[in-house]
Amino acid sequence: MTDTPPLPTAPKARQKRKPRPDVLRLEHVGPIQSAELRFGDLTVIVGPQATGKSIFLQTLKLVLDRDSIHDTFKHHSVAFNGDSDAFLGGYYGKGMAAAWKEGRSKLSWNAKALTLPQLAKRSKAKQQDESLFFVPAQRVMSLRDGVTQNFGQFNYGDPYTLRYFSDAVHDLLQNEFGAKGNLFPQLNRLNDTLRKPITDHVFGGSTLAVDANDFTKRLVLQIPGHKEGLPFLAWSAGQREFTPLLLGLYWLCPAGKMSKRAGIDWVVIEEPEMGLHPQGIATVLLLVLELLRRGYKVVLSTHSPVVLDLVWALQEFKQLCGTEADIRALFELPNNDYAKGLGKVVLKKDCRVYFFDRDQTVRDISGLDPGAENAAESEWGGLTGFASRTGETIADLVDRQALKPRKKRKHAASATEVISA
Amino acid sequence: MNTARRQTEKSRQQAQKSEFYAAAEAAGLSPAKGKSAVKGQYQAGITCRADWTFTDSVDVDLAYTAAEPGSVRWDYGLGLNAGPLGELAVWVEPHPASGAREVAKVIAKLDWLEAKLALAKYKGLRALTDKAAAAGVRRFHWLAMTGGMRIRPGSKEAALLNSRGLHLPRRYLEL
Repeated sequence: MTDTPPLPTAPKARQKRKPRPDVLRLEHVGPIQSAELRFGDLTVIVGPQATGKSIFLQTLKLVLDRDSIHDTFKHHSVAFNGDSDAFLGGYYGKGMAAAWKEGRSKLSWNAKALTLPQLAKRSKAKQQDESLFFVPAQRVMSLRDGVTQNFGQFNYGDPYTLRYFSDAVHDLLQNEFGAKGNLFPQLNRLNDTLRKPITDHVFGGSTLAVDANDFTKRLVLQIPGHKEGLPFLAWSAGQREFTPLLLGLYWLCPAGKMSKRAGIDWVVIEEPEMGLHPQGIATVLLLVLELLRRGYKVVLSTHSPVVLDLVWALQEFKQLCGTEADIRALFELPNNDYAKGLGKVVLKKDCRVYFFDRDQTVRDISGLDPGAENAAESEWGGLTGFASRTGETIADLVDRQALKPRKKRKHAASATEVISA
Repeated sequence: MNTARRQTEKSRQQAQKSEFYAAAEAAGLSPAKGKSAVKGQYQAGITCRADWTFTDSVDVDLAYTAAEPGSVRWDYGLGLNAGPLGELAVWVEPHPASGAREVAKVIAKLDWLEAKLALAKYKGLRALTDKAAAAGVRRFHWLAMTGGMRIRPGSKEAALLNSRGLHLPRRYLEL
């Protein structure tokens, strides 16, 4: 067992006081009509496409890391010369300055009113470190053909979050890993309890390696028995999506005794489920728990009910006085000290879920009660809506078939079968 | 029609037994007026659309407590006057939905109820129940008014329920 850094400890006086949740509020910004999110240790946002989830998360990053973002652009010789529209286009993506409507749009962070044009200019603070690490939905673009991309290889109008993430991964590969051949598995990165499901459910026994032939560091998958590494474009979609996420997690979980990357308190991961089978998604969620264990506040956006399954389970475990053993059972983890510790820590975490719907105020659906009268909550922001309709349509059809000869309904389960199952 | 004649007609109609009442008696059950066979705590959770009315109801669980103490029994049957559809019978099981294991219990209760409906003496109740199915009115309902609701759409347990013609449990039923 390796690399299980100690948990961050807070001074006793601070441990007693429960901190107020951070609150970000946006009104009439892009497609967002009204959104007020009180962040938990784990916050999940769901909703259909083009409802403003990504704008909201990018704004969270801008609010927290305004000066660091300006300094990064400056470091890479990108100058906006005080033009806030140009900055907003460079930060969110070209044309996005129009999302802010002067006199109508509103923004506040912990009740302090701000504006995007205000954030488009650097503050007068001397230097500010980054506090939020953003893993964007477009992360696969950070590994074109298996080669990492630095900030300058992108164009004006490509989202800052993608450019910065890509640069961090590039730096990690070029500097921290240097000449190491294997990226996964790595004995000094992530506990072996976490490495096993990655091997089993994502890489299928292959190893992730750096091929430095042709004077370019290119990621390949080494398959046992194969002489040559499998090139990036021949990987499965899930492996291509997962690999930059894994590298981002390596960045957040440094080797050795450090439990967190200095200065970073928040992690945003957009659509962690991309391209993955539910077993792979569960593996990513286990890594999310590791981030929580290390003391990061995690914000996820998702279209997968599997992600909300985790939140539902955590809420219910807390309500029903579940123990770390229930967390281990959920993730099929071994009975070892690391897994027990992980389970104990995550049961103390506060989880919240918000639903971004078109032309609606964003709703808190943290209860995730399948019996809730409000369909937004009972259908988990639409993520189980189709499954509900499928089940009910089948049930109605079974009911209609009741009048037909019984032999035609031979597939229906009897209680005897169910009980003995 | 004058007021006196109207009242006489009403009294005559009230004195007439509903189809559900007659069928329940034939099955050896003890029907009660409207929803009154249903325990008070569940009555508010069972309603019907505005133009329908409950005729009578039976507590089948109670009826078999002595005879079948060890069996898993369904709770209630209700007669519905469904306007132009005529009278129908539907069946309601108030049962907690606190976990996936409850699904097996409710399916076992449904098996028990279907075995009863297959008996010759239940012919009348079975006919009213089949009439509901033919009219597109669901026959069997799981009511879970309080407590945790821990069966999620798309789960294996939800699929088992659906394969038996049951929807997921509801906090309230509008029949």
